[in-house]
Amino acid sequence: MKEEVIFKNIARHIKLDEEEKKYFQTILLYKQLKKGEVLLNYGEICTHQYFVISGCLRNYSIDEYGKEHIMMFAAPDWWTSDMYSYVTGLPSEFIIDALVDTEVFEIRKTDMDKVYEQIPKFERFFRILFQNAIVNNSKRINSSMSAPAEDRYQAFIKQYPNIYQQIPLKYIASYLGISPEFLSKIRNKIAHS
Amino acid sequence: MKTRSVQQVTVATQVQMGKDFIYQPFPSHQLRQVDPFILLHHWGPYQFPANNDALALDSHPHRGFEPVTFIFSGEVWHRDTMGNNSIIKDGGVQWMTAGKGVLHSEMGTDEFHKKGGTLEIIQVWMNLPKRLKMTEPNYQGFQKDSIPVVNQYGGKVKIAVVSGKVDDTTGPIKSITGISAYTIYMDANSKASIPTNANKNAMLYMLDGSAIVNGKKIEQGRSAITFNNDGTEINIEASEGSKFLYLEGEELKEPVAQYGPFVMNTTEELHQAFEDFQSGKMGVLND
Repeated sequence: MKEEVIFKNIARHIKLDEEEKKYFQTILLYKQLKKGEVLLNYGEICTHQYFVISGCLRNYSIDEYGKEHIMMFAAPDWWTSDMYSYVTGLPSEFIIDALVDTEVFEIRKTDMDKVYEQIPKFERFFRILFQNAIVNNSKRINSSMSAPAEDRYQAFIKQYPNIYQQIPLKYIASYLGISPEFLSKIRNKIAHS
Repeated sequence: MKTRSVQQVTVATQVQMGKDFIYQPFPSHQLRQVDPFILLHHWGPYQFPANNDALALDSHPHRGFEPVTFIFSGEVWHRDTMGNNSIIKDGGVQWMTAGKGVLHSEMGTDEFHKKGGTLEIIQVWMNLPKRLKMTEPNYQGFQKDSIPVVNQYGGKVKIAVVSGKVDDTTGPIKSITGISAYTIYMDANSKASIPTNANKNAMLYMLDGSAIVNGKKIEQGRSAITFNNDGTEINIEASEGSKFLYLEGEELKEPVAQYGPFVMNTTEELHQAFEDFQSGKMGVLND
């Protein structure tokens, strides 16, 4: 059962009884995406939270010279969304698409708001999730400003242990803000050390 | 002739573009656009040593507007899916009409990479009206010696006419929207007089120097000066050596939807542009 994966994820921070699980299950929308399929396009309003069951999503923007800037990957067992658009109700400046065939659960914002009322412990669950996201983001900003690319790559491997070997090099390079050629050199250096 | 009153002076902010820092007076919070000009990027001046990797804008698409590069110093190697392969040196211009879609790359030249030197360029995005957004793509590249110069103030002011007309001198670029574009070089203690069309929007960008423009002191370089449409003349008094780019065009008054390298009228048209690019409809530019 696909739902088991998400309940296991939730059980890390809160305990749900059978009634609560049953209710939560009713708001989960299962979706399959083909490689390259867009889940959220720029200019659209983000009205969902996404949980990745399998595959991998990326959240990115594109600059004026066509260069892609990857903000984050969402591997299996990760939650993702465009929080800016989700919270403000304004059009998204990002694109979320599938790097490989991917399965997700979507939860509508309106349903999520009801869950907070019906099962208040979900407030705790998402507080912890958002806390972790803020910590990760500030670490990423700090390291992108000050840490050498090799350290940033090591941090990436640690953060994404299950996907770093499956994602094409160019996407990892974009996430790290370096050229694929430079990333190749770093990988060779690590392999030979 | 009545002078145009200065509307606003906007100093460019620094923006990180990959590994480079560039200067962008607009779009910004202070100045969204100067219709029909929607973006101005000022690169440099950067001093590159020998064996450098200056300017590496690999193959990328555009649709719905005209990206135009003015080369003040250095060289830019342009290639595109129309088959153009063109190196333009300082004083020259690369004027691309992206129209319905084209891929191009803008790179430093092998010679510049090897020898090093100063690179200073400005890229301006000139919007196309709805009726021309899907026009056939085109590229016009001109070197400095093909761009006529109007001398003023005993030769202390040189106005290079890229497109449009100053007195009896006409620029080589054929603008499909009637854009006028001049680069203006002024020696210290000189005066220039730029004739403008009162019905069109006009702007000056001062790359460097110090000047008074229609009575307004421009305190620092990298400033965009916009004007009200209440006169036909712009007078510049330069107290030190100063460089300007003058742009003039008809206001489109159309909705602007821009994301990444595309400029259309609606979000749906932007999504279509991405689809067409990703499915190869804009062509493929091999390295």
